[in-house]
Order: sequence, then structure tokens, then C-alpha cells
Amino acid sequence: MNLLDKFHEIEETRRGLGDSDPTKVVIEHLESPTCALINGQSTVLAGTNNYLGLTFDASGIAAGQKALKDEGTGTTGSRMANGTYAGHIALEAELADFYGYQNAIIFSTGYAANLGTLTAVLKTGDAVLLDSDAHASLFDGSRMSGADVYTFKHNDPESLDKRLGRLKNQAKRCLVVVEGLYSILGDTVALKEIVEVKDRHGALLLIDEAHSLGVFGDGGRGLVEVHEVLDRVDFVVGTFSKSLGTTGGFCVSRHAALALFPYVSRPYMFTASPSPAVVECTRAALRTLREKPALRQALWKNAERLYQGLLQLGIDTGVKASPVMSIRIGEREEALAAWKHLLDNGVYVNLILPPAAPGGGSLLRMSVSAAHRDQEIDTIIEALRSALSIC
Amino acid sequence: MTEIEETLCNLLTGIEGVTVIVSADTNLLAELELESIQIMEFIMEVEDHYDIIIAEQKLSAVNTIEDLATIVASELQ
Repeated sequence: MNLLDKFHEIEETRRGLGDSDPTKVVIEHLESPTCALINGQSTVLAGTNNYLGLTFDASGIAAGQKALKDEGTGTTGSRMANGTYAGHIALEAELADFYGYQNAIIFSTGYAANLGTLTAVLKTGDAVLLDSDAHASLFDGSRMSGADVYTFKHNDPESLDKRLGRLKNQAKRCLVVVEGLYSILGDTVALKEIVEVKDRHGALLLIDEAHSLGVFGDGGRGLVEVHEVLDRVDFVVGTFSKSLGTTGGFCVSRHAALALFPYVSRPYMFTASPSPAVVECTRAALRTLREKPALRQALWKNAERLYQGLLQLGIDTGVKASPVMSIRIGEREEALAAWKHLLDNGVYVNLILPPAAPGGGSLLRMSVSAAHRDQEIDTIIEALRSALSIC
Repeated sequence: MTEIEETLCNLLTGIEGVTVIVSADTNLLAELELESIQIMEFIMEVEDHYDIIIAEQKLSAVNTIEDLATIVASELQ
């Protein structure tokens, strides 16, 4: 047996997907934020995270083009060396201001933001209690930190309460980790109750608002704004790759310790900083998010239209109208066939197979954008009607 | 089987996707082919049944019900 034998099983799984391999989808040409050429066919994109449709926003593109021209293609260095430009500092200040906090730190990807924050906050001897549906990056960062890793039942404050009680004195060295909008099923965190529980036990709370930034709250600040707990949550992490349409991630906090993360966070220190064009596109997108609440209203209008269409098809997604909704399909082969049928009929959705699907089974995950036209939403619904008739 | 092993077997049988009869030496991954999400669900059921909490790192050496029972017994002490 050698080091690479483990890939045999993975190869067998890959072969089993045949021409229904969702990892082989290639976006050949983008016609808009919501439509692309796939396999030579014009396809409605119902499986992106482009919630506000900002990837083609004129101000973002102009800002990126100017940055490329003025500052070049990349920084070529870490923030700890030559990789800090005025734009990085400005973006951090603008994020802190957006949340009304003192401090913010940006990372090169959202994945790095989670690893970087968790490994800065947690050390051996500490504890981390994650929601069982938390994203892989949150589990990876928790495991990398050396802290004791525990889970509580998804979105269950009582399960969290019991576990913090069982930790006894370690509860005061515990970080609770949740998400704002859970990205597969589209449900949202019971944040007020969870904040109350963690306060009672003296623990801290990190909320990952990757999918809820720009989507929830009158100002687009996410579930922390909806539940009015900005002054009680300890760390908010997020990504630039969804509502803001670029790449990168961030952490904001009301704690002064965040300013010291650059000295201890290896995912921050040992990687090149975000390129100037990415930074300026992100800054422009954040300005647009703040200045144009109509985008959020359009997103929710589209979510409601899709939700009503699903109801008419007799589909229960388990959540009310949400920018993310999933259809559970029990058997893997059925899910593969339905996903392929949708794609062949001009609609791209995400296919979630075990072990990634919460609650087991397979899922067709759909997400809507503010940029979807009514006709595109209706196309999604009609394609689903056809796909589900073959299941 | 010890009392803890028997209880664990009963709890495991209640997890969706477990359709075979389990015993103390049942290999949780190799024989039952449980997904990581199902194992997580099972561990949380065990924690709630015994009112304990088990760090994930302690589970890395667990292959069988018997292995898990040893950990549960040490948490109960």
C-alpha cells in the first residue's frame, strides 16, 4: 500500500458520476450575472451566490480597471511585508464603519478569513462549539487551532445550553460558532436565543455571515442587524465572494484584540494580500450595497416569486421564501438525473450529494439574485416541473 | 456486552441509515458506511443520553462501539 492508493476510491466515485459530474461544468461565456453559455447553450444561473448581481456593476468594473492601470495586477507580498496598500487600509476602515465597530481585518479568501480568525482566537486548552451544519471552513479552522472541538444540534439553543453547561469552567474559554444564513437549506440562525445562552455561560460567539451580508437587515449587515445584537456578538466573519461579487474575506469585532490578529494569524501572515483590483472592486461593491437598498428588495421579490412557483409545484423546501432554497431528493441517482435534466433544459443549479447534504440524502440547491428577471425565475420553475416529473 | 455498549448499540440503531444489527465490535465506518454527518448525529445522541460532552479529537481512535464505550466510561467517571 502506498501514499496514493487512497485516490483509487475517489476515482471510482468520479467515474460513477459519468456525464452528470457537477464539478465538470464550465461557464464558457457570461451573458449577464444570471445567464451564461454552458455546453453551448444559453443557461439560467440558479446556483451562484451572486445575491445582489454586482459582478457586472459598472462602478465596480470601473474601479477595478483603474486599480489595474494604477497599481498593477497584484501586490506580490503578504500584509506583513510589502503587501499593504492604501486600498487595504481603506477597505478595513470602511468595513469597520459599516458595522459600527472599531476594527476590521481582511483576508485573501473567505476560507482564509475563517481559518485565520479561528486560529487567532483559539489555542490548545480552549473549546469551540460549532453548529452541526456549520461550513467546512469553520470546522477546518477549529481543528487547525488545537482547541477542543465540539458540536451542538443544528440551530438548537437548548442543545448549545446543555453543552456549555457540561463544559463547566471551560465554557468561559469557549467560542460558539454559527452561521447567519445556512447556505445549503436556506434557514437562518436563532441568533437572539443563542446570544442569550452564550452570555449566560460567559462564552464568546462568532457568526459567519457569508451568505447573509447584503441579504438581511435594513442596512444589509446580516442577521446581527436583524436581531439587533451587534453589541453582543463577538466576531463577525464574512466573505467578499457572494453579495459583494469579488474574492476575499473579513472579520470585524467590537474587541480590541482584533487589531493584534496580524501578529498571530498564519492564514493572514503567510499568503499574498488581495490584489489592488479585487480591493477596489470590493470597496465599490460595499458602497453600492450601502447606497442601493433597492437591490436587496429586488432579491427578496425574486425569492418570493421562486418560492410561490415551488409551492405551486407542491414542493416544500422546509423554509419560507429565501434567497437559498433546496429540494431534497432521496436517491443519489435520481438527484443526478434531475440535475442533468435541468442543465440540459437550460437551468443550472447546485447538486449537493452526501456527505455534504445536511440531514442526509441529496439536494438540488437553488439561489436567486437581485439581477434575475421574472422570465428567468419562471424558466427555473418550468424546468423544475419537467425535471421532477422524471424522478 | 457491557451496559454502555448495549446502550450505544441501541442508540446507533435509531440513527437513520443504520439498517443492520450492530454489536460491540461493529466497525462504525467500514461496516456501516456512515457519513460523517450521521456519525456526528450519533455522537450528539450519546452525549445527550449520558449528559456528557466528547471532544472530537478523542473520537479519532474510535473504530468500534467498544472503543466508543471506553471513552464514554471515562467521561462518566
